[in-house]
Amino acid sequence: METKPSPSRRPLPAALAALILGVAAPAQAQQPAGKLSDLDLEQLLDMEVVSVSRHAESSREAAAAIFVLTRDDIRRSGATSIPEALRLVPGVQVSQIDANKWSIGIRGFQSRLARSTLVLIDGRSVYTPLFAGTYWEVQDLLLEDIDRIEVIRGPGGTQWGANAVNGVINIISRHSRETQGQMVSATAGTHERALAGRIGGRLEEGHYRVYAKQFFRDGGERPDNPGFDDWQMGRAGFRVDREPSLRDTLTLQGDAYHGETGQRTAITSFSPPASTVATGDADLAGAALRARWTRSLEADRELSLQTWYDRTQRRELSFEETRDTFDVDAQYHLPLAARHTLTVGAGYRVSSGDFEGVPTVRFEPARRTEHLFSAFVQDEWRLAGDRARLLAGTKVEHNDYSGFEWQPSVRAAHTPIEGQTLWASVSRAVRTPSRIEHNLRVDSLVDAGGPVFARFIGDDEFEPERLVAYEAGWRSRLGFRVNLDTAVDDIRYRELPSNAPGTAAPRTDPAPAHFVLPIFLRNRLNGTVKGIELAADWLPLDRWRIRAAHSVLIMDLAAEPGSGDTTTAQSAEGSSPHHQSVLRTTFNLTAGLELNLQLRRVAELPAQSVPAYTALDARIGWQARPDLLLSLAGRNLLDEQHPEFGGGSAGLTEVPRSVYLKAVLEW
Amino acid sequence: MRRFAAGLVAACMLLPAVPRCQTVVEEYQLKAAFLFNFARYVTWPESAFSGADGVFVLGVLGADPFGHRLDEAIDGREVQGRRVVARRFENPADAGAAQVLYVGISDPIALRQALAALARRPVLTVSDTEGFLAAGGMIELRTEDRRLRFDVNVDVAQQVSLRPSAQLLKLAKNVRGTWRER
Repeated sequence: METKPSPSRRPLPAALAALILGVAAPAQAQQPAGKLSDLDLEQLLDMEVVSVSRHAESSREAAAAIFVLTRDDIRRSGATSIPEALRLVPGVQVSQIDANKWSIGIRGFQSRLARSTLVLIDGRSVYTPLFAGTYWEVQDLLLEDIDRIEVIRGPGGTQWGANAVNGVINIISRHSRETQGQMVSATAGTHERALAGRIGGRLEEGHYRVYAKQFFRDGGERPDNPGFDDWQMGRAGFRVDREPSLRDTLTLQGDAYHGETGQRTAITSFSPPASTVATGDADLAGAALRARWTRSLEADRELSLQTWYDRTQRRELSFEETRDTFDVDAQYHLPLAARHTLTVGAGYRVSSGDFEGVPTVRFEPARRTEHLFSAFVQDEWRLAGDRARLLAGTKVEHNDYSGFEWQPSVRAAHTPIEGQTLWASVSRAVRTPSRIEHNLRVDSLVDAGGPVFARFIGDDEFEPERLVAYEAGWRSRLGFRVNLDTAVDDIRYRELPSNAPGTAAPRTDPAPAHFVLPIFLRNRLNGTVKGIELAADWLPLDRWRIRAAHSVLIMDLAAEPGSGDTTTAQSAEGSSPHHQSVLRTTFNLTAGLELNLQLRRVAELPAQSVPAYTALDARIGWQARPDLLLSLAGRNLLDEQHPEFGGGSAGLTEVPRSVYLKAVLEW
Repeated sequence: MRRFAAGLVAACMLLPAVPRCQTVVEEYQLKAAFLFNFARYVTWPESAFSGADGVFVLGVLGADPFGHRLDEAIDGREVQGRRVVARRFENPADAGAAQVLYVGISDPIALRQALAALARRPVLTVSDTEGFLAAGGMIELRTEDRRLRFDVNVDVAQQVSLRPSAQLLKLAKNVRGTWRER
């Protein structure tokens, strides 16, 4: 009997084209769904399935310290911004600097821009190369449209590339099919007011949504200058998802924002007065557009292409920057024989920034375009009847500052019986230099007599920070009512940034005459960070859930002898809490009425002059009608105000107690 | 139309050597057809249709993996003399309005909470989450050797006066509990 030639016998170029493009392959027979419904159960049982959603790995069996914050968690928390929601994640440190700024870290190294953490919104990196990090105040969405926030503690360099050093925060928005109909929400409270709306509908072979929001927040508490840090922002965006065929999915989304954040900054000038404190608003704007195409090919293969463009504009009191970034990325999943699945990928990013500052805040050159090339390969091997998985892979990147960088990792997970997973990993990651470390020139006054200015200088001698992380964990489900998650890590850092003072020299340009003490950015800090993160999830009654988490952080950093740096190690160690606990509980009181409480205990931050504090947030939600959700939330209920993080030259601002009422109408 | 599809299946069975036989279907397209089909093999108490609109609701709670496949599977169809409509639910308490409900919740604790919220409603709960029956669900879909199989927990169904047909129980891979005529 003659059979049709199978794809593997086709000439190689055609097979290759089919492999790469997925277009030459004969369209695999797809039944129109209507006809399937006409079959009876017995016939349906004979159908062979191909799976599209196979990459949705269960976070419970992942070989990494992953925590997923669901939309339900976010709603119940009463958070009105993404950083506030992140407070719920074990091992993540979130401190509010003032009303519009946060300091965030994963397993230590907390900082205003979360420098060692990579943040992605729907696959788009929001890490800025200028000052290296994430400007949290401009990262936002309609919180109701966030599907989940996945937080991976530990290096993610193999998959996500440079700067995913201490962790990755993946913010994933909902499919537009899940946001159909209309929604309006209004928030009013002691410190904030917000209005938001969204419309979702159907398109041919797909769905869409458009949204807009605007909020105003009052400034924090300070004796001398209350409320300088007020904040307002407007944002609008859309998302379109289409499935032109059962094998293709297309997503197009875009967002634009504009807002103002109150600032207080010391501005240095060479002419007297050498240092003044300026108070005013920073003007922030940006827009991003992203497209993604995924095609499922035969034999469980999958190809996805993604591209995005992002423009940001910051006009602060002492500088302004406009940045354009374009990124394109391809990934291909390829199941092989013998239970291996290979994933390969390649990407290119170009980012161009134009900087202008006051004479004492400069980047040299002022304008710079950076190119990043990357390639990625990973093999997943399923063993022991799918009970064990071994993942090995690496990312190779080429950046303009340090050339080629390798970020390999090996991960293993074993689920000997259902509900019990043990995992371990060894990985290497790098934080590559950014504009700030190679091009920055910032002067600040150290001695008014003279006068003497310290000049922070970034140059080509600054190297990447490197680490090797050893991690292990155990996830355990005890019946249906208790989940436990334990993770331990031991991370060896090399070549962390340090300061190296030079010799002060007199200068007459620019006039008047002054002294400049150069301070070079170097990499002469090393050390280890050890961490333990415990999380428990208990359902004592079907309507009552209790979750508790505790994180321990042991940082041991030291500057190399002779480096001249006496402060950086102490400052880094004293800026992240060594103990942190979160206890949260949710009650479903009656149908439609829910009560949520969350208690946080954060240890002191000696380097920020912040004592330990305990904070309580509470929220009552009431589904008054099927289309109307009312909620009353209070934050920081235990004290009138408390500080959480130092504000640099702006001084310490305290976070006040606040209460708000929110109504969400959905129809 | 039904005859055409049945003929297709027959042709595939007869010609196993033909590569790319038409019996290969996309996972959630097939699962959508299963959901609709379960409705034909179960009898609901009349009290289940208390809603004024008198439609038969095929619901999805939590994550929706079907997309338009579900809407296409039920387009223009009737079950027990009622027009079938697809609805998505976010809140387990609202999902009691469905007759057949796909539960897209994989977190075991959240799943147990959702099923507890539905415990007294005549809703046929279906999911492909592992351990769904043990958590108190009624029908669990599984993929075995690239084909879909399902297990039924008749005790849970019986508690809310749902009557699965003998044919459904015969086709199930495993049946938990015993069906007692009352």
